[in-house]
Amino acid sequence: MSHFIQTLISERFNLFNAILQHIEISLVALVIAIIIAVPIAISVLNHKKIAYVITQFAGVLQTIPSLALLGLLIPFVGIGQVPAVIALVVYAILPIFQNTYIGLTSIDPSLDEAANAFGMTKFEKLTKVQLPIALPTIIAGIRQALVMIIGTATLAALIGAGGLGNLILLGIDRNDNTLTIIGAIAAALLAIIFSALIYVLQKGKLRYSILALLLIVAIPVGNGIYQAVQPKQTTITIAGKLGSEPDILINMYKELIEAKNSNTKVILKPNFGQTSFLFNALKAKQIDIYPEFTGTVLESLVKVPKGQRDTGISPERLYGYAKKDLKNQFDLDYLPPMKYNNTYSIIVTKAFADKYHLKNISDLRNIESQLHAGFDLEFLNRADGYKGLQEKYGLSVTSQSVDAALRYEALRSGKVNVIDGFSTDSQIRQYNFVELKDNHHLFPVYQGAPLVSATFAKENPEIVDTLNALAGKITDDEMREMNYQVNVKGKSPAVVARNFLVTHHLLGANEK
Amino acid sequence: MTETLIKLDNISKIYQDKTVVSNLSLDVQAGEILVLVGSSGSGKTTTLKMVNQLITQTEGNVLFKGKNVNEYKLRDLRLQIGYVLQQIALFPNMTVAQNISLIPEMKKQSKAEINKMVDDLLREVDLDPVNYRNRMPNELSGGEQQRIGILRAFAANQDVVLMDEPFSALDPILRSQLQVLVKKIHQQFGTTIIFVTHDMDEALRLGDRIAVMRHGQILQVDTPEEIVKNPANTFVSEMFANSMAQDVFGVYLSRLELLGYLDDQDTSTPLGDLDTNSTVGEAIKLLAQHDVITITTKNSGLKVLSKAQLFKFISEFQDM
Repeated sequence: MSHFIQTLISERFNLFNAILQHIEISLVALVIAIIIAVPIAISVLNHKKIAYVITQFAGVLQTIPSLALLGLLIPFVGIGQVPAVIALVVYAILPIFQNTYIGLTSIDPSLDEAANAFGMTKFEKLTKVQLPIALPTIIAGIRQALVMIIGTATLAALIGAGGLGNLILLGIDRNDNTLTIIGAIAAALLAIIFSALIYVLQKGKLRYSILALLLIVAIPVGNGIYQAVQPKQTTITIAGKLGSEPDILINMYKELIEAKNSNTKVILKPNFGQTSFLFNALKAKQIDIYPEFTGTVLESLVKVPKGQRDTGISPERLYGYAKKDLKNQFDLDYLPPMKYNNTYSIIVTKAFADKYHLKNISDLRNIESQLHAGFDLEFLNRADGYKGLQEKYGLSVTSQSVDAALRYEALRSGKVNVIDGFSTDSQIRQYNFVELKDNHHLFPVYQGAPLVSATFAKENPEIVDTLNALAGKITDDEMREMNYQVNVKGKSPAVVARNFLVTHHLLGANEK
Repeated sequence: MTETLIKLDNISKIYQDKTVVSNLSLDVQAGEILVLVGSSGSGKTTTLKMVNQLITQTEGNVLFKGKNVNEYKLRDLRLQIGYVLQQIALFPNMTVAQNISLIPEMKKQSKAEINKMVDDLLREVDLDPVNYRNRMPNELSGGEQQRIGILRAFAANQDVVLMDEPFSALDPILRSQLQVLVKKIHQQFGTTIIFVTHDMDEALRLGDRIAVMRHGQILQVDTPEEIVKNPANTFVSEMFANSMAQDVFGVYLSRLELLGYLDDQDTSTPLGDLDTNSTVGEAIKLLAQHDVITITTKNSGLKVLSKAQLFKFISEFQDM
């Protein structure tokens, strides 16, 4: 419990921001869904067949898994809040449309006759009779939609839209259940509170409800207008993948850039999602810079010409390939990498290593029969993962797939005795685990380096210079320590980043 | 003296292959209560709804104040015509006061004027404004609801009010009370009323003139007296006879008047306070003590009923 409260206190700003983002995404989606669904329902009132077709169509949309829908939207609208809102709107349309249609069509026909006989115009009939009578049914649909939206919006974090999903994903990534629980509880509370709020509004007068609704829309819209008309400095948007390491790195970029270029403002988008989201966002110029690994570039982003994948290539040549391919294939500029190599590593406990005198991965062959491996699903299927272990090391072990975030816990609790991990993972430091040496050079080199568009690099040579200050800096140990500080000690990535820069004289202590 | 407010000129309504109203012509005089009476399927409601164009005629013309209804904007036409439904159809989202104020508001009358009018009308139907103004329709009894339904139709001082079987769903006591209310409001405002019913008794009690309908045509339009005395055909006379109460004690004295059992008043002083809404049963009680009693009639002032005439009616009742 005390850990819960401690986390709550240390993460309060994150939580607060996440809640605000969550509310914003949810309400904007809800309002758009209302604006779409209610008029459609009204306009098909006298067209039963069309209404039926629309209901079926909206029903089909709703059966698309939310994750798939988010993925499908990326090629069209990129990443961030726009696709998140679109996906949420798609889900919210059905309950709102259906309830509006049912509410309006189930009104006693004699009331319709009376309204006609009194000479009401269609609009008067709609506003004075039909909508007020159908309102409770419509509101019920809106509440249903809202609860669904608030729940689904947690997935929006996967495509960089922020919100409470960020906390949940961070919690999973840091193996910190408390953070996940806080995110989940906050989302549930939001759903309950807003559902109750709508209920209260429904009891009030129609005009107050409309006023409240307008106010809710006005806040994000007003914010958007404010952002748009605000006098612009040069702003650079830097994003990072999910996790502490990219978060620390982009904070370093920010510190350095803002210190050296006084009229430049850096906007950070930490925990922005996964590789493909960030890469697409960079190509679409939604972000300017993000740190990427050399290994990832060659593995997943570029088409690699034959012969490039020879094993035992030096890190320098690997970087050279990555830089050349990115330039040729995507017109991107890949700046020089930092020192540390965040590649796959094979990890065992200290006691286990001592007992069997394990130093290198090849040492595992001697105790093959006693190994229970817990490997991440991706590792299990990659050529440079478990398949490589089998080929290069002749290693064949009983293994089960364990979620990346849970591997260390599985190792610590003794459920498995060998796992895959990444060399800069803070848990290695935290639990004093042992990393076995890749003595046959199976794992590719994963060095982090800033990725920018070629145009950006050309137009901002001073920024490129600034970022290059980090080239060749930061060792495996230093990175692991910084991850430890953030993930385990709960320090903010900004503070950890700044400390590193100051202690390594990359930034003067008084510089801002 | 009388002017024609509404003229139905040779109208027909044909649905696909079914003729509901055929070649019907009817003049409605300003200030009268005209009752359209007929069994279900006779076309009376269809005829009524063609006046405010809820149903448009297939053939023929409807004239309102001498002008073809086609020449009015639909809204303008309907704002001059009140409407009372059998289903009452008070708007459930509005209070009693809001329901009554609806049409005056649509006609842009002033708020103060409307508020005063609502209070006056509520008092008129014995509903305390303080108590009833802000009630919702579902907090009213059926009889109260239809009272509000009637007030809503009359509130905007319409030229004509159409009433489509407004009391059919109510019990006999309520029906009788509301019939009295309609007569009262009619006298007060002089509003022209077209009233649809399948109940001949109701037609006889309310109608200045009665139009008897069958198979989409009017068989006879006349005053109640004429219809009773000179029915156009056996259908009309049978319809009249069938409507009479089965129990002789329950027959209204208006029947006796229509059938000619009441005599003109002689010089004797008025006796008793019976009117044509009283029944034979009440008359018998009073006649036990007197030879002759006086009856107040709606059209021809005081008339008298003698023991001899009552006995004659009762003895002839079997054969009617």
